[in-house]
Amino acid sequence: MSQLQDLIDFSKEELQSEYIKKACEEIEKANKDALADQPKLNFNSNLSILLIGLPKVNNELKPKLITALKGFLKKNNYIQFVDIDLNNIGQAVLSYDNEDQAQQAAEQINNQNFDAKHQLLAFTQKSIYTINKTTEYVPITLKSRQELLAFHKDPRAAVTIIQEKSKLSLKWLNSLEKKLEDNINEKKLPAYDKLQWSPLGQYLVLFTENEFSLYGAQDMELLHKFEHKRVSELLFSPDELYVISYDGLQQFIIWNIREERQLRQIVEEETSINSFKFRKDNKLLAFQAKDGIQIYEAPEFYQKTPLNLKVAGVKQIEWVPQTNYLAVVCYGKDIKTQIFLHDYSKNIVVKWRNIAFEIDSIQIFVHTYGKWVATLIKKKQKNKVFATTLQVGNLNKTDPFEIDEHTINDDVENIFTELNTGKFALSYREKDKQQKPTQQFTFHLYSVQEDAKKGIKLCQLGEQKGKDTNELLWASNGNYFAMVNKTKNSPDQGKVEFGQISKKNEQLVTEITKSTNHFYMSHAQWDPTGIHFITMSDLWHSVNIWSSIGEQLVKDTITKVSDIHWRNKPIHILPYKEEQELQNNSKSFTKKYENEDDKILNKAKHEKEQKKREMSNQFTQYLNEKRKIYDDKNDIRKKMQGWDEEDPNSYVFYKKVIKEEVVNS
Amino acid sequence: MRPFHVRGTDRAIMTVKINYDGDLFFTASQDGGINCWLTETGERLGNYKASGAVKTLDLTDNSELLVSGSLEGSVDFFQINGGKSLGKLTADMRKAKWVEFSFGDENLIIVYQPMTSTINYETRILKVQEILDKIKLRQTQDVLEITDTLITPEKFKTTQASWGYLNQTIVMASTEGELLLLSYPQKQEIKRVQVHDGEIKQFTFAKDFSILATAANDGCKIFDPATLQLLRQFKYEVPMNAVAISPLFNSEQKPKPHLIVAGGIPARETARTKFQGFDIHICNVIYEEEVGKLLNPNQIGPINALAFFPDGKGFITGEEGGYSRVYKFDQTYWENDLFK
Repeated sequence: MSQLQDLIDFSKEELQSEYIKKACEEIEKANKDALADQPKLNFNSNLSILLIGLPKVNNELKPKLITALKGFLKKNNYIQFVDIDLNNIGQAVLSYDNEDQAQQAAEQINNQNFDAKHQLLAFTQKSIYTINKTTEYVPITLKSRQELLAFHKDPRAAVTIIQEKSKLSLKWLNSLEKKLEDNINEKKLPAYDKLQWSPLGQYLVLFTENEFSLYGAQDMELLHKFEHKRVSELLFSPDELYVISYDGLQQFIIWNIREERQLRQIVEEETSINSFKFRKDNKLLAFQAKDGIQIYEAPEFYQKTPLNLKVAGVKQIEWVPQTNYLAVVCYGKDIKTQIFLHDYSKNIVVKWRNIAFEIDSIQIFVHTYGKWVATLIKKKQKNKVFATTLQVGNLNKTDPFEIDEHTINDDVENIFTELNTGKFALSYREKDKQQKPTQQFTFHLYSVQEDAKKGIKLCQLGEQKGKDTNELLWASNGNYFAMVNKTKNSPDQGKVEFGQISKKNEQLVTEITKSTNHFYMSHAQWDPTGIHFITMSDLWHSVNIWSSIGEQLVKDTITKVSDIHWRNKPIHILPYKEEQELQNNSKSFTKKYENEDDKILNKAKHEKEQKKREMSNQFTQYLNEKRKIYDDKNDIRKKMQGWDEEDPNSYVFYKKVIKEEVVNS
Repeated sequence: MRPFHVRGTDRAIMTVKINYDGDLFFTASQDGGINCWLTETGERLGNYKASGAVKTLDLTDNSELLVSGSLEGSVDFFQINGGKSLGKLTADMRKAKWVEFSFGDENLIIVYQPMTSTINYETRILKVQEILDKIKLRQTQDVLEITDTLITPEKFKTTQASWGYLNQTIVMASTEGELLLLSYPQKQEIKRVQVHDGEIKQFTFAKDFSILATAANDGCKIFDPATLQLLRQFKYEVPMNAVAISPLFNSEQKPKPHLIVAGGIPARETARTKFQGFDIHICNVIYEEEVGKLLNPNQIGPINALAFFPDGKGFITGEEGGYSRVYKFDQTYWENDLFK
């Protein structure tokens, strides 16, 4: 604004108000007075440094200050100045002979205590200019999608993370040779609180106190940084273009990752990150508020008010993929218990069954391909849960809803699900004769079967009784599972049992293939393809990798591992048609890799063969040379011997002469 | 395969030789008798009487002359057809170690221990025609007439001296494990190499002079005859006495890079130890590995001599008890992958 005054000529115009006139006059006065007293310091050359922090002194006491300064410098053996120019405010300019001396002096005097009360700061000209300069704007270099997802195409990049509290290294599991091999070796990370992979495996997220940062691409470089104080949880959109961050109290922020900017801020108390749900085609975001359901639309996430629903007591919402449904669950005190599916295209509500009994809680699960929906209902009587039911509904037949169910007359502690192939496991504690809970669990296993005629059926796969393990982890292909106990300071910590679901006589049967132990186990995780299983213990820094049946592949107790994860993968990398082709013609594809596997499994044999080939090549070269020499001197040989070896006319065939005589009889 | 054996003496056999055409073979034993056999049937055709235990033998290519060197200091000449002895050279010799005709049968090398000194073994080259002419004039010859002498270098006890390719070089082996290369008409030493720890018992060339194989107490080693560079080696615990290289070594149609080594512990120690090591080893030179072993359960003593058929279809061995066995390869040798 002050520059505008100079540019524009206001002299012809009259100042209209009186106040403005007064203010201008005062400014003119003040400028002269204010600056008259203050002396100006000459700080223009490289040979001088600026000192700040000296005590404020009158003109009379200035020479005393100077001597005190000199004494201070002598005491600490600093370089003495040549000339000094003091101020009343406690600032001085010291000059020296050389540039080097000046810089040295500045480094020495900086941040030193002149007095108990005064701390000195020293600057050279260069350092001031660097402080005053603003950093250059570096535009964001975004990685293309191919680069971020390049690790999927390379089979050797199916990596795990192993880290030793500050060093990150990515490795891949070579299951034929039974060892872990390096992909990226020991990259140093800054200090962080928490670490996780994004659901598609593109980004590695590090949480720190004030921000969270994303690493990715081939070399695990820093890609993006976002500021959010005390951030604790994240939710990614299915295509990983947007992310919602939550700080644990009440603030949600929606970000656009590629453009690194905030889109929306939402404040809501007493909720969690699970109240936000993205739809699978990335176009809508549903938020579960107290009054009802609010819907936001990508890419800017404005609220779409015509799509909002007003329902009381919403506890859980889920989008159903490949359809237009949104499943809603409502229950609570003085609220009608409802489970229904809202169809957005037709604006219809499809109701689940009527529920007339008292309910403790309801949970809803949706198939990843949108063919069925399952609910877990806990029934209550006199404030005590006495039964739980598991219901599965077919989405192809909604009028009326076809539902298959099974009940257990006990309070189920946990449910473990696998939603790609439809597997459930319910666990509850066993009770002894006096009806007191013990330390042993039973697991009920179910699977959802699709039949062309009968529709969808809930099959029981049997019970596993008397188990010391309290958790069940499904593999992503649904055929294998592992039961694990990770509770600290319990006598059963470290127990692992592997199981398998197989078909016998057109019926599904479970069997346990192995039960082992890993002392002080604290982490356990299946890999995203469901073939390998990792167990790790924090205390003992040991890592074990198992195959899906329970065979131990890798054991590592030497490297000090503090955290380990599998890198996530999307379920489908290929389109549907190509996947079908692969499944039908799997034999022709495996032939390509048979040779490679053979080389690893029969290493000794192949090494021998290779050695032989090298030796024979070398020797045949040598022999060919000799043969040349032999052939070249054919004429000389003929002369010396007297006849030609290769001329067939010079040979005579050997005839056997059998002498026979007639003996007089 | 089904080998058959022939036996002409009680005493040990020192050498075995096959003629150029491959229908006759000769065995020489310690009692001074040289026997002549047919290879197909094993029929004995005749007997030549030499003076003293015969150590070496050689024939001409046209199968007319036979030369033998004995341990009593004489070199005998025989006519093969008929068995007539043409004459012998005796003077100034204590023991004859090696006799060999050159390529083309013009010259003859003789390695012997002279009467005067016991340290140096001398080698001499004589012209065959001159000797034959002189022998015709007189029945025996007391004084060796020398046409061309080769005085061996200092401290070199030769056990064998052979003609190299096209008679341009001579290779000599010593009792201390050294090999020496000489150029023939110039008689200049090209190279001298320490090769084995002990005595080199025998060495042979391949048919086209592409490699050279030695047999000693360590085992068998293979060299390049032009530069004496080590190419391959086979180690054995038992001392090896004889070596033979297949004539199909470098052939274009059916190459068989094989080599036969045989030996065993000396006869006087057979009663002391259990491990005797009398087997015959067939080795593949290119891959440096052993392909097979042959062991006869009736074998009493070590093998002293080996000779390959000139078409590579079999070989002949000479043993301690006067036996010599004839082996012929059967179909597995030609068709099986092991023997390539």
